[in-house]
Amino acid sequence: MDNEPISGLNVDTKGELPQQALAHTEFLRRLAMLQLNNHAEAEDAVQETYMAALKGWSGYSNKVPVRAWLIGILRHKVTDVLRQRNRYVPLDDGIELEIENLQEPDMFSSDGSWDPTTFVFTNTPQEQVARQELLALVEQCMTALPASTARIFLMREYLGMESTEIMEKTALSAGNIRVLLHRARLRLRACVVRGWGEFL
Amino acid sequence: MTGHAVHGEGSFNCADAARLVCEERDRALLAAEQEALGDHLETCPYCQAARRQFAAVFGDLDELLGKDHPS
Repeated sequence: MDNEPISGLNVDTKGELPQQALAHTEFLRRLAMLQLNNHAEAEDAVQETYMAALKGWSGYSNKVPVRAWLIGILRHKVTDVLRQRNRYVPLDDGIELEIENLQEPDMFSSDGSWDPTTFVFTNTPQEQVARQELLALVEQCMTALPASTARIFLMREYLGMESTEIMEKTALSAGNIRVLLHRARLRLRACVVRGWGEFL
Repeated sequence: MTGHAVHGEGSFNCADAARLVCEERDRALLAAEQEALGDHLETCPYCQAARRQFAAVFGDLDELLGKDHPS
């Protein structure tokens, strides 16, 4: 359910936020959980996001889609949580093996060319498919990344953290972070392009 | 698909091109990197297609994560 109640917002208060804002609750929860890997902290971040949205609703200008506005508020809340943590972002054991296994073995030939037997030329099916379905595909592929990889990927792609800050929070080397981000992006492309084929 | 540029070991190849296309998300490419990427893209239909795909995926990712309308 996308509009499952937000704990801490009572019915009267919640009624002041229109359905278009509440419709994104579940996505915000998934995003916060993917990043924070802690149910309580994720729920708090989403709750604080809606509290801030409620406070700022009268000043909301409609220049930005409400979904992007909420995601932007959540970004600040999640960043605050991560920056306040005096501990490393919890990564699964064997992160280095996880990075090693991110490499898709049949993507490139031995000389570094795209492997013509596996390369997919499909273009994004913009006209045939609703935007929402394309975004859902990207989310699905992002969620399919190994958990630690997804968290680090989102630290860069969602929170916009620089490599140095990710290094501080994860204890990974700059080289490992660079390789992880690259392989995660390669996998994301491969997964999404395969998904586009399903729409055609 | 024909016309795929063949690149020997040690030369700039498709894996290098993919790496730079992805790293453009994080940093501005050096002039030499831009030149090497541009030269490669001119002759490699695989990388031309991959670059279009990366651009579309990154655009969708930005929209998904609300980065197309930064707060």
